Amino acid sequence: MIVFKKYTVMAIACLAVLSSCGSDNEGGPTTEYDRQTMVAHYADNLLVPAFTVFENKTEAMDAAVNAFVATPTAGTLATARTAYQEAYLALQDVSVYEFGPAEEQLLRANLNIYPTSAAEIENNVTSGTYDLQAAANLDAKGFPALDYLLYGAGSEAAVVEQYTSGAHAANRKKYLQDVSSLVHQRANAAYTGWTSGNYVDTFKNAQGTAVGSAVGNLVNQLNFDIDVTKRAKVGFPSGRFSVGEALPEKVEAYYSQTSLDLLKQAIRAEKAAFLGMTANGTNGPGLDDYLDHVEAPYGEGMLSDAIEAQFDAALAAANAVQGPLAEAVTTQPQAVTKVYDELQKLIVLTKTDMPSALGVAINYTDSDGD
Amino acid sequence: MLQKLKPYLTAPVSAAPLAVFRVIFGGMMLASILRFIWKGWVTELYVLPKVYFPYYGFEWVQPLGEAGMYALFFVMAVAALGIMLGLFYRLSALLFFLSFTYVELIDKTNYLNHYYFVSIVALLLVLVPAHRHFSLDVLRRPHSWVSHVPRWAVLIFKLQLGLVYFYAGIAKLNPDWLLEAMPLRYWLPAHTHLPLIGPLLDEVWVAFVFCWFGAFYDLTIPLFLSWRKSRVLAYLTVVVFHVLTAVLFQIGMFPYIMMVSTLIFFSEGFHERLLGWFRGLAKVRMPAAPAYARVAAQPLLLNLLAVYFVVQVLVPWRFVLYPGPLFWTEQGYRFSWRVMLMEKAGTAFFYVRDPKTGYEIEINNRDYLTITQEKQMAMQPDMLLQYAHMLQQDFAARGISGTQVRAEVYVSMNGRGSRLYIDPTVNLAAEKESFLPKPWILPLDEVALPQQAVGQK
Repeated sequence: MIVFKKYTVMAIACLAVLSSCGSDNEGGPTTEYDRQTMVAHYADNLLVPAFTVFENKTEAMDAAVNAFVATPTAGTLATARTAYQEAYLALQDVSVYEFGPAEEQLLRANLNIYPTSAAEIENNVTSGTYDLQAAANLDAKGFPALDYLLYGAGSEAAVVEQYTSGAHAANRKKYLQDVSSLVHQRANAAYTGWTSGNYVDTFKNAQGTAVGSAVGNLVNQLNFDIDVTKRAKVGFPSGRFSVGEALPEKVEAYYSQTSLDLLKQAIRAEKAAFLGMTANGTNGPGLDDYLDHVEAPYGEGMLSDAIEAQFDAALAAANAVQGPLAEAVTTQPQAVTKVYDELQKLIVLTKTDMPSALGVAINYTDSDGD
Repeated sequence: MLQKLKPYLTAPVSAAPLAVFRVIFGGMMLASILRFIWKGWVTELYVLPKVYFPYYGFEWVQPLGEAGMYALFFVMAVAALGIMLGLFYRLSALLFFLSFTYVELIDKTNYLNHYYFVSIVALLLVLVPAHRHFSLDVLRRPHSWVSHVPRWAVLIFKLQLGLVYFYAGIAKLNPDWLLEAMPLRYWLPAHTHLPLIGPLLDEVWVAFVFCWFGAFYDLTIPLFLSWRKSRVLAYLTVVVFHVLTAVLFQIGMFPYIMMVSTLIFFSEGFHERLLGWFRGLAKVRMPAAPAYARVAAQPLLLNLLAVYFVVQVLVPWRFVLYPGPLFWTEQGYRFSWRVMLMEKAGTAFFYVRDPKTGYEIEINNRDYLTITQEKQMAMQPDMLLQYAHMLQQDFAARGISGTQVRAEVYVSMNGRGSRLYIDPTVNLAAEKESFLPKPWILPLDEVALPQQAVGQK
């Protein structure tokens, strides 16, 4: 009987707890972390600006490419190359957020499959007929293809020569324009989806941490991007997934030799996504603050500090590599391995500790648990 | 002992509770299967994956291809319908048990305690005359109708349900749950957007209330459901408890299955009134004279059931035979009603070395595994081992035999920072699966974090 009474008391207490929360909670403790504010901060101050910059940079790139095609000179080529590099860097800033409109546009697959296939590009140029939306051409378009088309021949003069007196110059011009214009189209579609397409509202209203929630998307795509950074940007060229020897031609941006800049930009973008840091350096409410709110520990300190420190360690390791990366993978294998190991430690923290502490499922599909 | 109990166990009791349980269980199973198919999980879990993780000793259980799997689920659905209607009941129950269990044995990635629960309840249903009351089989053969069944036929389901709750409660009596409120402390704040209860879920004390109440509930609910005086309040608690778990956690049909299964604890009168009401709707008359179901080979059956329940009682304790903390090693974790106890996650890097060239390459797990498989594999030693063997076989099939496979695995558990999980130097390809302890699992000691990456050789 005593047990039963206790039980009744507990049951009633529990029900009381559950029902008493609607009214008098406003005056409660203020430690509550406002996830809505965090998600809104990500949407308004990080994601929309990043997609806006990406759209602007690709538009500028497309204009510069058209100017170069209209009058191929060393001057117009230099402008086109600069515009291409800036747009490629801007891609790193949006890659972290491949969900919603960006996922619909399959930005990674459509814009950044590398190594690009020079043979396929040359075939397409020679024949003059191609379908750049076909899966077979995934490695013949996007930024890696632009990289080849703008830098493949080497010196500025040699590239200009390709577009003036070279074989199939007219076809090559058209191909360059087609690839560039498609990049801009994809960027524009993603940007439009976020702005006039109202994905901002969808994102802000996707509460909780389940599959498809704003927080779930942020965490999972951040992890996916760090994984791609580690595996594709560093792992493949250093031969870790193949025969045990370096494969320099597998680096991102092989022809322009800007791989290291892109790598560092990707790590910076991932760090900013973790901290909720805007492009002008304002550190707003981010995943790190969320981790602090749930008091997630790591060793003697906080998990958020450990992750931030690990981002810095990865960046420092990348800074220690003397470029270009395609040469470094054979000449400074230890420095490159260091980058790889630091990224490995980073992904363990972001993919194992962080989702656990936030109650985010590492999953892209819905399923039952127990 | 059993001899003394025999008169009690075989005494006639109303067949109504058993018939209601049969209808409810069959109906819930039918709904679960249709939901499973509708969600596309047959294809996702049993057609698309390139590899599967069968249970030790059940490696012969393989998926049947797309047409085969859908056919199997069709059989399962029809069998569930057969259970619900009480049509060709024994065959239906047997087919359901076999098809459901077969599917569960294909891939331990998808192991859930409630799937195991469904399997064993289905097995128990095969043994009882649940179709001789309120069923289509009775309409087909009116002489088979009974008003009473032996008491054990109802009791085994109460006992099984009681065991599930009680062991789930025992499992909660651990320091992480009671003293740290883990993992609920991490899980509840994810739901602060819920109306009414949302804001409270951010409070640590609420996590503690949930933990302590949950343990108390699991340990005592079978008792309070059995006792007439506390039954209604206890059942109200069952509903509140399971509705809460359904809202807070992604556990599919399980809360609903438990909510309706526990109705079996209610009185005979309750079930008879329930069935009487349905008979009234269908305008069916019940025979006036009572009849008692005689069960063939009853003594043998009772002995087998005694053995079965002894096994059920012992299996959750098998973990004491293994060294190390159970949650960490997971040796003896499954089939023990340990639910919602751990927030555990891992990241696994696999390296395959060709001894002839000496080169070691890293594996992209997603080339072999689905996201769910990778996630489960990365924190369960037996799956890590299976995956290592798969990698070796795959390399052998591609002409590189005798490869060595090692894994650098980091696991975080209930708020403990991620740390090395298994010995990264051990060649897993040379390790055999068995019920013996796995010596290459590293102890869960307090280590200085962060650890240095082991990396590739």
